[in-house]
Amino acid sequence: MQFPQPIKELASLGDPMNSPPFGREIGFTLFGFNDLEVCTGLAWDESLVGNNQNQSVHGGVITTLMDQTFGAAVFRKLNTGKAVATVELRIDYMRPATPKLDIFCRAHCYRMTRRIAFVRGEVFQDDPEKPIAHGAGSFMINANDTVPMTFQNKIDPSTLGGA
Amino acid sequence: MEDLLGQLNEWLKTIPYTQKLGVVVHGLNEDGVSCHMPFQDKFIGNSQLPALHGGSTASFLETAAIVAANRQSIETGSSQIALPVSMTTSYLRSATAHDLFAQARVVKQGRRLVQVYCEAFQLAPNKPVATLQASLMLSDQGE
Repeated sequence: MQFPQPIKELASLGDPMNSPPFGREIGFTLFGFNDLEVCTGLAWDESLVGNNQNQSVHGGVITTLMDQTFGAAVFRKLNTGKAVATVELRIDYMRPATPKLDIFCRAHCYRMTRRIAFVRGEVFQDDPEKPIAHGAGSFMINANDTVPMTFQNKIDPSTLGGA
Repeated sequence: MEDLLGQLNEWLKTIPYTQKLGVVVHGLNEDGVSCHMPFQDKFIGNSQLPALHGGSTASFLETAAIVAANRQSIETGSSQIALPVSMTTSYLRSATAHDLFAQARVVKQGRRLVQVYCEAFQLAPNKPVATLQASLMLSDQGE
């Protein structure tokens, strides 16, 4: 499987197999990323079919690919190694996926605030100009170390230091 | 009613991806369906917590929405099939390494579009882990 577009300024990928169990289950592959976007894909497989009439993949496969890729785009831009959690993901399915063609995703984290990151991206097959789905999502950053309100109240202001 | 439940489960068994997920329809009510996805290790997205992958929760919710939207066609033997157009998934809490349940409700059944609202929960039905809002288009099979 090869990403259908050249990926500019391909950064070192580290361990590309470092994907979670469900990513491995659907065959998630990380191809690379640059400052602008993260490029991923998955190989077409019969077990991913969600519609027997046209043999196209299940919408859930596309959602999974997007969720994983969008999260990676935030993770990459954040570059702190901290966890990222999906808040909301909206997807438009523009055309059915063509059977037996691999599926790719491009995602761009276009805005990052202190707590929330915003991502958009597309899923396509052989032609990046003809996406099969478009998505937009919001993500909570540093999701794992959010201090609950009750503890925040007890923080000694003198320990916070000046800006 | 019993018969329809069997029919819906038979239909799900013919779809490779829903079979891979192991989704079953376990209840019917007037305007929707309830579904169950028994936990499997492969659903994990974060091994440290551990938490289910957002994609496995969304795949389950989407399946529940598709079942709810296609229920009428299957019940009446119509050739129409509901295919997803747009979906929004909201993640409310981290889903733990347990079974998932969903309640999908047809909010509006139109001639061309079906709108479905779906909630997924685990141990406590009053604490949903994710919700899904979906619009599906009705089209004739083979179109």
